[in-house]
This record gives sequence, C-alpha cells and structure tokens, in this order.
Amino acid sequence: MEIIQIVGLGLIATILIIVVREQKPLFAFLLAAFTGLFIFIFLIGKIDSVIKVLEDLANRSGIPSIYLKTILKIIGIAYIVEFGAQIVRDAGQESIASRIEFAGKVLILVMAVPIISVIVETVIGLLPAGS
Amino acid sequence: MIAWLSDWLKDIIAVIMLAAFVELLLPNKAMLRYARLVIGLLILLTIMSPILRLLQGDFNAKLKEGITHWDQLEPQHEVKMPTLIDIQKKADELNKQQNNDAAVLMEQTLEAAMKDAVVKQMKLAVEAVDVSLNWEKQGQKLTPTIASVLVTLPAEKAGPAGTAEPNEEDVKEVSAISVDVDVQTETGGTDKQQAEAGKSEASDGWVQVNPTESKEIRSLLAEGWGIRSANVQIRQRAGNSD
Repeated sequence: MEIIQIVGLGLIATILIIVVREQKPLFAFLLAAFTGLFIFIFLIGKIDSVIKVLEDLANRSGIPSIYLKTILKIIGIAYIVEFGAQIVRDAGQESIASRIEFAGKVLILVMAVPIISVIVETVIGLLPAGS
Repeated sequence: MIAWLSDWLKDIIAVIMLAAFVELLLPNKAMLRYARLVIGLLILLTIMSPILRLLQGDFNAKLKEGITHWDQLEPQHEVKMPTLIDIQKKADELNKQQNNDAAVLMEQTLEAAMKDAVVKQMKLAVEAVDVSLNWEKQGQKLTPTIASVLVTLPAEKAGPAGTAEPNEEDVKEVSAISVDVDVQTETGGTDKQQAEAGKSEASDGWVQVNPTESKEIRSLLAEGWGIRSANVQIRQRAGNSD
C-alpha cells in the first residue's frame, strides 16, 4: 500500500511545514522541496512498468521504434519540467517557473521538427504530380 | 492486399492507443497541447505511410536520420562550462609556466649582473656566464636557488684587458696546482672539462684557468651572491696558439 505511505508522508510534511514556517520560512521551503523530490523518485519506479507496457504494445503492433522513442522523450520532458516548475513555484518564483515550462514546450516542439520535415517533403513531392 | 491493409490498420490503431496512453500519462494541461501536436503528427505520418512509401521509398530511415541529426545538434549548441577541476588544472599549468618564465628571466639578469661585476671589478674579459637554478621547496612555495655558475673566459689571445701574454707561462708553470681546484669543481659540474692528472690542457678546447683569477672570481661571486665556491665553475677557451 504505497498510497498510504505517500499520503502519510505528505500529511506529516504539511504539518511540519506549518509548524516551522513561522520561525524559519527557509526550512519550510526545503522541507517542501525534499518531500516533493522523495515522492517523485518513489513514483518514478512505478512509471517504469507503464512504460514497459507501452514498449510491449509498440513491439507487438510493429510501429517503428522511433515513434515510441519520441513519445517517451515527450513524456520525460513533461514530467521533469512539471516537477522543477512546481518546486520553483513553491518557493514563490512564479516567473522562473513559467520560464522552465516554456523551455519544456520548446524542447517538445523540437522533437516535432524531423516529423514535420518528412511530411512537408512529401507534400512538396506530391505537388508536381498533382498539377 | 488484405494482409497489407490489416497491417496498416494495426499500425494506425497502435499509434492511436499509444497517443491515448500518453495523454493519460502527461502530468499537466500546459504540456498537453504541445504533446498532442507531436502525437498528432505521428498519427498523420502513420496514416500517410502508404503514400509516403510510394513517393519516398523508405521514409522511416529518413525520419530516423533527421531525429539523430537533431539529437547530435543539441550538444553542439550547449554552453560548455569548465568544471572546477579544469580550472584548477589550467591554473597549475599557468603557474608552472609563470614560474619557468620567472626563472629564465632571473637567470638572465643574474648572468648579466655577474658578468658585469666580473668585468668591472676584475678587469677580466668574460665570454659568458651561465647560471642554472635549482627549485627548492621551502614550506609551501618553491623557491629558486642558484645551483651552479659556469663562467667562461675567452681564449687568452683574444682576451683584452689584464689577462695578457705573461699568463701563458703561468698556465704552464702552475699546472700541477691548478688541477686540484678544477677537479673538484668538475665533479660537481658539467661534462665538457676533463682534466687529467697533471695536464693543464683539457681535451675539448678548454684550458685551465689561472688559479688566482679563478679564486678571485669565486670570492667575488661568493661575496656578491652568496654562492659557495664549490658551485662555481670557471673554464677558459683554449687559445689558437696553444
């Protein structure tokens, strides 16, 4: 029952943060950050099994491995960006958090560039045949 | 035909299922739009794959090439931050180089000063003074000390000033005594001079120096720079007449 552990950890961390915040806001922030980090690392192992299922699906249906790689990269970027931005946002730096998210979006779009280029090349290749 | 069609449909279904899965996995809504764009493109690619294959042959290879190209492109753009170790290594190198430069400069100035002193105070012509430094560790720092000094006097004929003709006789006369002095210095110093037993003339174009002169030079250097006389070597070029 990992969910009980995680929720319990969250509750304890929350109470501690409320107690500490009055005296030392810095420690409250650190506590929040480390709790987040712990839960993140705790759950990354679980995501692993989901990704295995995805890989299995891809292998069985015979879609090219490059598709799966791209998709997994997108998921990874999304998770890391979300995590980092959340911690920064907890510390009250909204602007930096939005910059991190922006960077994540740009990197995801970069993934699309090779796909777009192939499609565009095909469309351009189609045009003379059509006219 | 049917087999090909079923393959194609299977591909499309698999990609769409993958897309649905990914949408579930994505952590927040902000990323969803961008992820959806890329996944939509992938689905489009799968649906268009028969046309693509017809027109472009193996488009998957092309796609793979493009993606690896982009992957390799990224590290090149990265700003390379030197690590602390790199900086320290560089600092050490620079330090060493600086020390070496300083040592060379020090050698040169010492040589010039010694030559000047010998020429001025003893009225002797000096061809060259060669100082070699030794690095000694004192506490944390390396400090240079004078390891040996090699004074080269010009050949007597060519030499102007005080060292004139009469010295020729001197050399022959005193030869037996002068050996004693020079053998000691030679053992500590360079290879060139090889004085044998009672001979005053060395083999490789060097002659024994007048002992009084060498003594004077030694005392002068010892006085001025605190060099032990054992570390001072004096040699003289053999004159053409000898």
